Amino acid sequence: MHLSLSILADQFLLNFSYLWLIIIATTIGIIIGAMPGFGAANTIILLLPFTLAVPVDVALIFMVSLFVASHMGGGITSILLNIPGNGGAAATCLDGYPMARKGMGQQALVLSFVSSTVGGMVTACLSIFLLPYISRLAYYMHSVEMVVILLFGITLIASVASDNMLKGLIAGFLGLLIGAIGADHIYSTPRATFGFIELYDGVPLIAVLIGVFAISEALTMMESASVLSDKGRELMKQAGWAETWEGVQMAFARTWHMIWTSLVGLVIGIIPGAGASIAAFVAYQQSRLFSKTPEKYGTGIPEGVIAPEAANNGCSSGDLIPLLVIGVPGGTTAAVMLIVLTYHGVQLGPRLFIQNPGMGYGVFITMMIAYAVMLFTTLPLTRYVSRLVLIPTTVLAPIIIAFTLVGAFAPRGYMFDLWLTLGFGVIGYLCRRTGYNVVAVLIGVILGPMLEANVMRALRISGDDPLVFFSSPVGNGLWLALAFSLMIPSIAKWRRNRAALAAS
Amino acid sequence: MNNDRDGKVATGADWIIPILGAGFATYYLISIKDLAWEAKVSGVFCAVVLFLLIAIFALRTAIGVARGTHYLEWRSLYESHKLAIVRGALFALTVANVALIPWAGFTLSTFGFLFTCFLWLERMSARRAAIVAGSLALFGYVLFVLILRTALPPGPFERLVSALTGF
Repeated sequence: MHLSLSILADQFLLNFSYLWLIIIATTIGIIIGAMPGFGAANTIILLLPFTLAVPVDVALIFMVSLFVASHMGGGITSILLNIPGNGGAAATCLDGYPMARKGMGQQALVLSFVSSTVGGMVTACLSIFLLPYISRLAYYMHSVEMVVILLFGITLIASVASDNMLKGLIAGFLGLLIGAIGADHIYSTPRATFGFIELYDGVPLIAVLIGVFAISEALTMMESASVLSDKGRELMKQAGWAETWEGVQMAFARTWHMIWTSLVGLVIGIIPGAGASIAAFVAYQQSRLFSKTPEKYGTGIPEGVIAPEAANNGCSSGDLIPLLVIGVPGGTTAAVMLIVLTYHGVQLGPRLFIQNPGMGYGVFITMMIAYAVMLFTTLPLTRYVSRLVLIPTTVLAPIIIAFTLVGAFAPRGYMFDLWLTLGFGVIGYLCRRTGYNVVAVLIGVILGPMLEANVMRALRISGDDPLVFFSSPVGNGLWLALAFSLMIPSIAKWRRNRAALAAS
Repeated sequence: MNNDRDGKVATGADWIIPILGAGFATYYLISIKDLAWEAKVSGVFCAVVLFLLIAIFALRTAIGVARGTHYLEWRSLYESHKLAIVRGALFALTVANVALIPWAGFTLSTFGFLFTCFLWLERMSARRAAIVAGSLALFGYVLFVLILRTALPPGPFERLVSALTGF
């Protein structure tokens, strides 16, 4: 991989000459990122005529800027409305929304923007220099390891997202089972489709996301006149530029936290298929694990916003590494980018760095410039955007329902998906009212098809030997980590109870 | 939801999701009984683990009730009559909105839904509700239909605009 300062300088100047394009792409990315159902992949598909018509450099700059901005945008609605714009922003709801309810929405948004920027920039910068080395991580992740990682993801999310781990696991496995609806991977025979042909491709993720988050949140919102608590409302009304500055200080006081959680995102992003949702939750869980005050997580603390936001943006760099280095897309958006680049005749994989190293490294230069642009354009807006929560819930809830329903319809164009969304809205509402975390259900649905595909692949390769799941050293290490992650909360609870008993 | 009352844990309403889960898992297993094992393995694994978890939950609840640390209640689903009506009506209006979209199109059905909600939930004046709902529906039309090209079912409004402007 030929890397020289002149290549980097050329790429920087090239990107800078397209600053106008980066500004447009990041603006679109933030807006669509904040809207559930309109992910970066869908938007790139929508704008395919543009990306195919322009030169490859321009197309790449546009796609990369839009991609990273959508990760940042996803946090806005997570914080203000408890509705993640995409799966990667689901973990941000855990502390972002409680912060907003306390009247600290502006600070939470600033935390999200700064940690996204720092996380994205650090990992993009690191990727340039470590590209040849970190890409090898992907080689160690085969289907066996992926099965354990996916199960690990579910148990992790169940313990992070729920006060009661058993309830979290029930929600997670219910999600996995919902994710297993549809045609199977080998014979394409329909399973548990209730006779609906629209479910043969599986349950559409966007319908689940919008149903369990947006619809159920809108119904739950009606309990009070405002999203904010009384004290929060007063704080919010008085909020000015000082709160933006306070948010910036809060973020930079936790610089190391931003850096290491973004690195967690980078590593997870490199694993093909793992994605931003897992990255954000793993970073959140690790952040809580190493915290001196883990009990404060979930109540609205800055670390709880920083960790997932830094990680899901760190994951953006990681997502693109397998695409550039070995030609395997790390996620859906990367897959769409692969199609566009292939159309342009770009050969991805090791040859890219021999034939056109500038393009390979230029992706990360674009990312860094896009993050800088985003920070400067979004920070001044936080003061105004955060006032969204001042709208009475009786106005906000119908607007959320009306507009998010479009997001449920957009990806497939089926009216059936709208009915499905309403069904999941009811399930989400019941989950919220009875203490089952909706995040665990959503992540289960996301991971279900991935789990099945990897289980089948591992079994096929091993000649249907179930012991294959315990045959790899990396996999066995991950099994151990999974067992520990299940035991640690119970041990910690037992120790707390014993300490409380001793104290009393 | 677990509400502490005199240090006791409320249970009852939190059985709805396990019951739904068990029902769905049973249906899932029935629906795959005649399939090849490759098509079953993942679903059977998830269903079995789900049944196990529900069994542990049941055992824990039964022990709790027997020991007196848990008590049965359903209040967490139905806090007050007024709230239930508001929530039920909002959901019913949403269902009506979805049912109307294929005939009225996105813009008109959204306008109708928002207008009714604002009138009834926010007690806005009819004029103000019409202006706010109309502006929002129009904004939605421009953003989703014209800019993002979402293929929402067209209604009289969309057809009229298309005929007049060619968009």
